[in-house]
Amino acid sequence: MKQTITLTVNGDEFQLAVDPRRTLLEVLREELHLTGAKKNCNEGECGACTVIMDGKAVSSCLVLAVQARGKKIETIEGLARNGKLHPLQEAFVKHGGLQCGFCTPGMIMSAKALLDKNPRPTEDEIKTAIAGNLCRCTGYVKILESIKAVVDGKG
Amino acid sequence: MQEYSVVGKRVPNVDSRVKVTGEATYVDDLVLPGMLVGKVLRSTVAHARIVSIDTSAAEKLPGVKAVVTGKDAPNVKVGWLRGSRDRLPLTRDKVRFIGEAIAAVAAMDEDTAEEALGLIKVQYEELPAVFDPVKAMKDGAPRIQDDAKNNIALERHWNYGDVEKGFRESDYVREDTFYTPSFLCGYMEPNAAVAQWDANGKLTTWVSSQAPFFLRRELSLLYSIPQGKVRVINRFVGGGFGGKCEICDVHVSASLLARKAGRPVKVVYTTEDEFAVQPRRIPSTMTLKTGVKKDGAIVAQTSSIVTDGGPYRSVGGVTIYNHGLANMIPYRIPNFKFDAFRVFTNNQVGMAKRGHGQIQMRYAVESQMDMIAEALGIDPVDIRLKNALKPGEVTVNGLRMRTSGLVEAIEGAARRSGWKQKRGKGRAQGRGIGISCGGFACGPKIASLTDSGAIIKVNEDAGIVVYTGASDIGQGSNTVVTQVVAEVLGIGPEEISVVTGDTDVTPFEPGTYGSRVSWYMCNAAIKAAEDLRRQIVEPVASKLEVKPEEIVLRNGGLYVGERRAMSFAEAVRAVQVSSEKGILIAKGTYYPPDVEWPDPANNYYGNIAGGYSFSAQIAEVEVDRETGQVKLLKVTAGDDIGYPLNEMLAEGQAEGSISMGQGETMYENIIVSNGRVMNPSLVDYKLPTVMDTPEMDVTHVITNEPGGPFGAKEVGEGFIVSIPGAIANAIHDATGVWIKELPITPEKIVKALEAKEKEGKS
Repeated sequence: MKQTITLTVNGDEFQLAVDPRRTLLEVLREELHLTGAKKNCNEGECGACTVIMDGKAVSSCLVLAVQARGKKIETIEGLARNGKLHPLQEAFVKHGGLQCGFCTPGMIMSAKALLDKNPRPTEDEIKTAIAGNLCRCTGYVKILESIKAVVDGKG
Repeated sequence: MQEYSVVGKRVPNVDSRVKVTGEATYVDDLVLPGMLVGKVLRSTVAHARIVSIDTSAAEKLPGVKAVVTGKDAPNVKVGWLRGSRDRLPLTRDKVRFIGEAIAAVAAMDEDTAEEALGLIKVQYEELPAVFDPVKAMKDGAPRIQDDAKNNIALERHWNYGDVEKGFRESDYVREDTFYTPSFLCGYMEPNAAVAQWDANGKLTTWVSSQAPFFLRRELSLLYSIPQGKVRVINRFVGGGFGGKCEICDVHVSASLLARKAGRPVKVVYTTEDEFAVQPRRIPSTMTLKTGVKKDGAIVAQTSSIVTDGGPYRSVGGVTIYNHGLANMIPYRIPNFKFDAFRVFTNNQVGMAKRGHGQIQMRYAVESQMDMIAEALGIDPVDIRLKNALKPGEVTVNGLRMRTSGLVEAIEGAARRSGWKQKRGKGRAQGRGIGISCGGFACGPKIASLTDSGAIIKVNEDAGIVVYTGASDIGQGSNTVVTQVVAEVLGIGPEEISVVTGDTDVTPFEPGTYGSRVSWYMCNAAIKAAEDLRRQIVEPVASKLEVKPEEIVLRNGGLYVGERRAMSFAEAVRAVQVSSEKGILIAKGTYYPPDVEWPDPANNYYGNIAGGYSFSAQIAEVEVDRETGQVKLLKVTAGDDIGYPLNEMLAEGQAEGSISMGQGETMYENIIVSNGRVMNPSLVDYKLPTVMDTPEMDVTHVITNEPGGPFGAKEVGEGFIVSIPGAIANAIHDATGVWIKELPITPEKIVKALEAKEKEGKS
């Protein structure tokens, strides 16, 4: 039995009828065609599906769409404004904070959730914020450099 | 270090802007009208005859549009190489490992497809299984493939010089056995395929592949249709590391289901699928006997390996050949004997992973090198300098080292790490430092057609489009090809776009494996760019009344001496309007001139690559003796990658290699018990996280390899092969114990320390 919910995603409101078993990730990807959040493990282990819900980074594969009812959702697609990349996106480009790109949207969203609350985090706080985001390509060095560049205002 | 205008610079990855915005689409992001969702049914037993498969209940489930079993597939065996085509894409009569694909379902949605899988009834008649390759080789062991006596899938034997004489002439000889288990490639994007057949009988499949042209060949052979009837299109590839080279049941089930349903079908692997069938690092048992002189110079070595390939030949002899290759580089071994077996078992299939077949052997060799150094009282740095291959040397199996920066790499890393101050001095504090070295062939010749091609098309406004068949799997090949073409044409990288990954569009390219892409593909692209330069310069030169060789392309213009005669765009325009050759299309193909196939009839002798990279790594660790917990503090490394085409991307390859090598050394392990994977999740498997990242310091030795593009060698794989040895040797320096099997877990360290303590007391 589908339920009607309202989701606010990147500032836009969507009225949706969803099966209560569907996850937020599935609804974002399949109903709203916002495919920036990626599906890998689908059990909250890899972080590729990270989005921000009411200011907090969440694994959208572990959130039911009906749980997101009325919540403010931010996805990677909402970061660039008027053709201008978000400072984190600029920094990941400039400092090579990505390779294959599959973990990148989730990684950036985890970092954004941190910086939105704490614009001057320590290295340990940055590491803690992205500890749940797996990257197999970079060894995390340039990801850390990218985030630190934004913190230091050198994005 | 030679300076170029674009090559060598920290040019951002050309795909990075679309990747940071989430615009980059991977296979799972693709939706086609009428597309169905496919799922694969896998074997639950390790070895059995399939008595019957009843799909009737699944077919009747509302929403199910197609069910396929092995009987729907052509009776054609597939595999990477001619000699290794021993595998039906969906098995018919037998299953040989847990997770082998038996059937597949396409349905309107994922839930229905899952439910349908549960309705398929497979009746097995279980057969005796064997999981230990050594037991599998014994007489009377269960036979896994009809054509393989004693389950020996493949064997390789080389013999150079006289090892027995060498051992007699040695001052010190020792023999050790090492073991490395199975590791996951662990790419972040699950393997996936969308397939569609059109009314002309043409199959188009969107994939995530390191080798789209190999996949096209396999699909063409499987369906007995010409290659022109198969179009393989790569989306962005979310990592590969060797695991996306081969045809998998994801490709076969998507195309079979799409054919039967008459609609496009998407199959995306779950994590469980990945642990069942992702091509994995082959487990290897390696016995090394090495004889040295008092000064540490190696006189002779025998290397005997038994690898567990699972029940199919897969990439065939390459994995075991590569073990021997890793013996041959980067130390001089005058007498060498190699005996290698790939054995069939009922475990999952072993194949290629970054550092294919070589990281295992480097771990063994480098560990034993330190044991020898310790026994002889030689510093580990010095014993490596003693044996390091130097420029101009030819190894006993015919590998020609035109350049080698290994000595400088070792010396530099030792100096920067503070080796002399730290080595042997930290044990009381649980600190240790260890060194290991490696070398790697730049694109070994493994099959008959290993050439690369590139085409350049010029737009009406003088913009450049480069077509290559290389797969950018994240390493940045699209970026470096942009740089080399820009350099030859004297224009900015922003003037160039790259088209890759469509077998109907680009020239042939074997694929992104064996660290071949920069070397082969960039060389092909350079030739194409030189062809284009000639097509532009020759007509313009006659107009300017100068010789073509007087014209230099730089800063977006054509220069005669210091005079800028015209812009690149003006020159292109002049050719386009005035010449009958106005449609500018250039091409280049590349094959290294002095490369040989290692001929079995000639003891596998031959120079298999145009160049060889080198690296030296120094690891520093802190070990908690009570818990056995190891923290990797820092890796200081020197590498010889010839010349870095893009410094930022080269650093990224080194950093990623350190992390992946750290995982294999300290945490990762596909735990298999009676053929069943016991830890099939990313958390239980333990991929390294940011919390594990050590400090890294990587410096290049520039050797400008003559055959490499702008002097470059490979960069993606060689760096990883020496990581495990460096960490293992650092752990020994910290604790005094040797762990001869990976991963070096806290449990193993504590047990070894306890055993050592007991030994000391008795």
